[in-house]
Amino acid sequence: MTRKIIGIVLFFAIWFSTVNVHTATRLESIVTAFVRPVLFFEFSNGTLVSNGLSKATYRKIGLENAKVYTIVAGV
Amino acid sequence: MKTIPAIFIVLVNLCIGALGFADTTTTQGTGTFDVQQVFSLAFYTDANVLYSSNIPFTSMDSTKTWVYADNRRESDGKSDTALTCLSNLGVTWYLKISAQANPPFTLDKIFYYFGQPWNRTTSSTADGSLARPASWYNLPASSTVIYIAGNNDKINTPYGTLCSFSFAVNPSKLAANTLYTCTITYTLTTSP
Repeated sequence: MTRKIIGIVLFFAIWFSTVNVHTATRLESIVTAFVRPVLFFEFSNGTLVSNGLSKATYRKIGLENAKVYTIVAGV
Repeated sequence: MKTIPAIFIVLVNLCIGALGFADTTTTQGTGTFDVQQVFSLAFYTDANVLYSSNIPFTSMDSTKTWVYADNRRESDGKSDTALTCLSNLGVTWYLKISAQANPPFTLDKIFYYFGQPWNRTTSSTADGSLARPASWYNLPASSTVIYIAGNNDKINTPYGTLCSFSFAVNPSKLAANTLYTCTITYTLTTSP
């Protein structure tokens, strides 16, 4: 009986050693995201703008170069 | 008297040998070759593949609804990351993807694009099939098959099959001054 058990154990041991169980291989990437603060300024002429705009955009929305505007609110 | 023919034969043999007609001796041997099994996944980088284990989206503008990774723009011909899937098992393999967003970031804010891979060994488009047509999709929370190897992918050594990814984030409604992270897991497996 003992020999049978040993035989069965040996059989499965040999069988498992010959069967290729290909475990999955993995890799990871980590996405890091950061939102920059966006400020909105309301100028004395009633224009609401955000920071980070180009000079051309500031002109397009009616702000003239070399003219002083007062920021009445910042959000 | 019998020694004379024997001496004659020996002399003839020696002459033939001296003339270059020596006997040829062939030794046979058996070579055994065992090719190691290869089944691996590795990051690939070059001038058009910008990132590997870290994909940065710094300084996102939350007034936008679609932002690419740093130094990327639409249709620039580049990728955020790429993987080399290498196998000589001769069996169909599967590439899977999944993601885990770390709160307060959520998976509905991040998208990936995965097109038809490139077989670097045959220098041609890989002959496997995409699980879904190439497009932008939300990253799945559970590991999901995105590519099924074709016949040429089953043994694609030595250079492997190149799978490229691009990512995009929708930063709207995300607060400033907060670092958001999301872990993307790529799995190469022989089980679907």
